[in-house]
Amino acid sequence: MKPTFPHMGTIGVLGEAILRRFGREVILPPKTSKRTLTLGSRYSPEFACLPLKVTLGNLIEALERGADTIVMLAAGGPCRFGYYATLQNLILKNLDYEYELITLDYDMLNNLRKLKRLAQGQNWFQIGEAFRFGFLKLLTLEKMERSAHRIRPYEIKKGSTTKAYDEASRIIRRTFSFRELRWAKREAISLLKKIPQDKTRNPLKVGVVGETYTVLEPYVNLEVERKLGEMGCEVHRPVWATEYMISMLPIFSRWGPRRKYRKAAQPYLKEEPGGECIVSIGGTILYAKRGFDGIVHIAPFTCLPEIVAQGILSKVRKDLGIPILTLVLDEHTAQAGLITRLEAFVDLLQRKQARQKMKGKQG
Amino acid sequence: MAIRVGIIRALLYYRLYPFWKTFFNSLGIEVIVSGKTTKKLLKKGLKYAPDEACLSIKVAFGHVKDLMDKVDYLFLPRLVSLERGTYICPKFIGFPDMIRSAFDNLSPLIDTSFNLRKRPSNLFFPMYRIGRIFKKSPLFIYRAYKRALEEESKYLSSLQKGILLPEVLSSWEERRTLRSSNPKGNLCIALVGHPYNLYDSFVNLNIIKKLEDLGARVVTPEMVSPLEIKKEADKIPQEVYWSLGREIVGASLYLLESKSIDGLIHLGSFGCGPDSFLRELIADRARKHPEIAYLSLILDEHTGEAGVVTRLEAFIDLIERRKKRSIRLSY
Repeated sequence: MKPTFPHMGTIGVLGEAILRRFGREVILPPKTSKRTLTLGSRYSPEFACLPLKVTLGNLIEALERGADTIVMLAAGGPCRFGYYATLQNLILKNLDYEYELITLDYDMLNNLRKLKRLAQGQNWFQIGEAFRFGFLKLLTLEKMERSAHRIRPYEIKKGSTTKAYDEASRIIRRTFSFRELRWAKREAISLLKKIPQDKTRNPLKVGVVGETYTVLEPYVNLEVERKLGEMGCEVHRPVWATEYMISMLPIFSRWGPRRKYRKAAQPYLKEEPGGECIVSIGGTILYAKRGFDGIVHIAPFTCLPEIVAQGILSKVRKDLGIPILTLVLDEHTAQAGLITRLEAFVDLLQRKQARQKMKGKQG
Repeated sequence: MAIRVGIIRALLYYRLYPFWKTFFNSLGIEVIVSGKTTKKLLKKGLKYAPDEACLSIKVAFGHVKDLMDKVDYLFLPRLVSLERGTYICPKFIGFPDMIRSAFDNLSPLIDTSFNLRKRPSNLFFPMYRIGRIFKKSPLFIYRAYKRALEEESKYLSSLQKGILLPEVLSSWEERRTLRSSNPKGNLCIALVGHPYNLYDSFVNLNIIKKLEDLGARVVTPEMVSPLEIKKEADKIPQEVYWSLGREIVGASLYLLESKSIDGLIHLGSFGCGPDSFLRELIADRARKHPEIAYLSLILDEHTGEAGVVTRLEAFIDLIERRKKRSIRLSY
């Protein structure tokens, strides 16, 4: 059995770590590329959302490489994500691919049974350790990403942070035991610390909110975070793979990491429409209250929950006076257009910041 | 003066109107419905709706704008789920909030949540909450609720008789007996899609009338009994968790399997999320029944009439030619 699963930003690291500790040979799909997107959008329904198309492309490429088992999440939410596994299964079967599909859903008992089978007879302690390791690895990687976002606007040589972060993430991804991970973490931190910085700068603070997949997957969002960082913005975001995974567990649905966003969004949205709608709205409100300069809202084309968010964010923008740029991504989104829009947005924020400073001096 | 409550002629109006209207009238409240969808109304909706929203939501925004100043209360229930284990659609859940964000100086909204996902018997509680807004006594509310349920079941059962929904609805509204239109056409075409696309004759460019003029008898998902829908829907590997979607898929699969139809048309609106997935499920099954022609139409605010007419004519032509050939072959 050679399991595979589609990429989703850094979540792939978690799956790979767990399955490798189970003693499986994991076949990861190649890095998401133009070919992935072309393959995915050729075979998926025209108006399906972008994540479906890209992950379908991932799966096709992984199957081409010899994978024979697909592990997917299948939630039962009102968002279309819950139906991905079934629909992709239908499409891939019509394309005559041979494989086995293992879905993890809200039926926890059944999930445990499936896990046990994947774990090749390892005991529950070992399975627990595998999960602990996976999460730790993912957390470490996210920590690196977070500090990269913080450092990037101060970097003296453009691109040096990205280079250092890529190196750091490569070091972390290589590890498959707790001890290796500890060493890798130390090395990665020192790598990021070595970046020459100009601490006199006063960067803009920009929040990136939106649908999980498009925010997490840099190929799909055309590396919005890196671009913003290199334009001199400190990027923060409420969407992280670990938090996402935790909030998927039913026991954390009320008390999990999304609680603060739900609370913040309460005056605008009474009931959760699934997906990351509540995080987008709550995150925007929290960031605005913390004095951020602007928000970039990312959503795939025809994404159901994010359309609701978009409608409500227009009101939030009016109430809290924070500029919001909504980027709707589809398979045709081009680099140049995106850069122009981001540049214009950052320009606007900079001018606003300068004006406020002037006012502060006069007053 | 009686209190006036506004109901929009969009979204689930076509399904739930008898229920709402009976309930409010029994409480002594006047119900006002927004006008039929027109070009002007849609334009207003486009102005206020988020630009990525699906056509149906844009139309609904237009209806809200139309109704806003005429009523004391705007009735936009938050329909989370009306059946066990299903949802309606994320946009329906967020709809009252979207409206509240889009319009200023709105008349008070009644946005009671209907969430029957876990306990389908809970329908009375939201109704009670609505009744309490008007300070009615619990017993009074209960009686109105019972009467509304009765009317609804009557309405739903008369839908099963093979008469199209607009006719049933208008006969219910005017309290006259059903005019049973004896079906004329020799072709039987199934038209499936969300009720707010099928029965809004502006949005779908009067497709039912066009099909009937071309000599076809139209069958819609409402005419399939819920039992058959459930039976077919349960055969799909994963349950479709949008209740309208489940109905559409179940009905189309049933109609495809029963072989009582000559053609199947799926009518979707541009930007509708569930539709994009349902279409794939239906198309996959339709491919296994080559004797039944399949057409998928997508409606948006720019749909030109001529284009739709051409496609329908070609579709009907194809079926007729096929029929003739099969008759010839059987000799």
